[in-house]
Amino acid sequence: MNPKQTRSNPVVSERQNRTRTIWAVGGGKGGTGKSFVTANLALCLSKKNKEVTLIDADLGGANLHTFLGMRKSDLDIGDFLTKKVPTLKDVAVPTQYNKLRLVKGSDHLLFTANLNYFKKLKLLRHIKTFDSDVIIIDIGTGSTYNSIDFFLLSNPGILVVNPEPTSIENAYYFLKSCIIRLLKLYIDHYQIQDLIKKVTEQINDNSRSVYSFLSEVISQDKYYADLLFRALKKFRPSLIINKARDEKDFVLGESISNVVQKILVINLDYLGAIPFNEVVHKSVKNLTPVMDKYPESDVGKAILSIASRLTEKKS
Amino acid sequence: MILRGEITLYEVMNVSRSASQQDIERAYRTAQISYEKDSLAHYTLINEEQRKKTLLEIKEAYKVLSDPEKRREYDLSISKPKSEIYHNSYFRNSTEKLYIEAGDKGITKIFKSIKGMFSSGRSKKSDP
Repeated sequence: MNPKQTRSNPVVSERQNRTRTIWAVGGGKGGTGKSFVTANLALCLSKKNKEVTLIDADLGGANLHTFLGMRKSDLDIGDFLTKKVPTLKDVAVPTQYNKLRLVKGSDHLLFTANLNYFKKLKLLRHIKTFDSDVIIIDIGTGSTYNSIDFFLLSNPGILVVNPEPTSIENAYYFLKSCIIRLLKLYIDHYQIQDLIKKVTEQINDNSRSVYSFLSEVISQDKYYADLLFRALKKFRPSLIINKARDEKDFVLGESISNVVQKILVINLDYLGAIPFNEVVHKSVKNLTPVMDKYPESDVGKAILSIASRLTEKKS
Repeated sequence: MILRGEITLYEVMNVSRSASQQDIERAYRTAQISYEKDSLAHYTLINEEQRKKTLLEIKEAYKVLSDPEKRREYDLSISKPKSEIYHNSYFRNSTEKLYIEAGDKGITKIFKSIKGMFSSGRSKKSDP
C-alpha cells in the first residue's frame, strides 16, 4: 500500500491536443427518451454545420435508426463486432441529413449480454477513429458494464431522466454503479485493495453514502482520500429532464444536481428540461425527428438550448 | 454524513467561499426545495433521518453565512485549506474535466486495470 509517488493517473489526463468529443447518452431506465434525445441532439448539431457520428450501442434494444426515419437494412455494429467488416467506419452509413452518419445498433443475441473485454476495447478504439466534430453514443438502458464504461469514458455522459420516482431511482442506481466502477479502478491501480471490499459492501448495498465512505478514508489516509476525491470530481456527467409537465418538473433538475453534489460527491451539470408535448409522439410515428419537422416547437427549442449548452461546455 | 471539522459551511451549502449574498440565498432556497419531504430529488438516495439531518446542517450553515458579521467571523476562524482536498476548487468551482487519455495506450491501460481488477478466478475474456 505504498506506491504513492510512483504511479501516474490511471484514467484521465488533462486535455493536451485535440481529442474527440464523445457524448454518451444513458440513464438506467428504458423509455425515458434517450434515443429520442440522442437523435435530435445529433440533428441539431449537424444543422449547425458540425460533422456528427451517431453510434447505437444499445446492444439488444437498438432503434436509433427508426428515430431518424431509417430501416434496419444496412450493415450494423454487429457486423463489425463479428468481423464481417474490418472497421467500424465500414458500418457507418449516411443519413438523409447532411453531415450526420449513423452506426446502426444490433439486436443480435450475442451482444445482449456484456461485451467481452477485447470486443469492448476494439469498439472504443474504433469509435475514436471517427474524424467527426462530435460522436454521440446511445448506450441504452440498464447498468451493465458496457453502459457504465462508455458513460465513464465520454465527456460528458448525459443522463436522460423523467420526473418520476422509477426513472430517478434507476438513474441514481446507474450513477452509483459508475462511481463504484471508478473508485474500484483507482483503488486497484493504486493497489489499495483493502478498500475494494468496503466499496463493494458499503456503497453497493446502499448501507452508506459515498460521502461517508470517503470520510472514513480521509480519517485513515488523506493521500488516498485525495486521489479518490479527485477521481470523483473529474467524473462530471450532465442531466436532462425529459417529459417535464409542470413547474416542479422544470426545477427538479436543479434539485437533483444539488442533492447529487452533496450525497454522491460528484458534479452533475443540469442542462435543462424538455417539455412533454404531443409533437414528440407525432414525430416518432412519422419517423421524422422533432428537430426536422417541428424545430420551432417548445420541445425543439429546449433541445436547441441543451445542444448549445453542451457545445459551450466543450469549449 | 458531514465531515465535521473538515468540510466548511460553504461546502455544506454547495457554494464557493467567494459566494455573494445572493448566491447564498439562492443556494439555500434550492436546498430547501431539494430536501423537502416529498421532493423526488432525494428519492432512494437518503433516508428520512439523513434528510432531516442534511436540512438541519444546511440551515445552520445558512444562519452563519447569510449574516455578514457572522460570516466575517467565521471566515477568520477557519484556516486556509490544509491540502488540495479541502480546496474550494474541488467543489462548485471545479473546472477540471474528464478527458480520455489520447491514443490506444490510454484505453489499453484503463481496461488492463479493469481486467486485472476482476480477472482472478474468472474468465479473462469477460467482464466481472
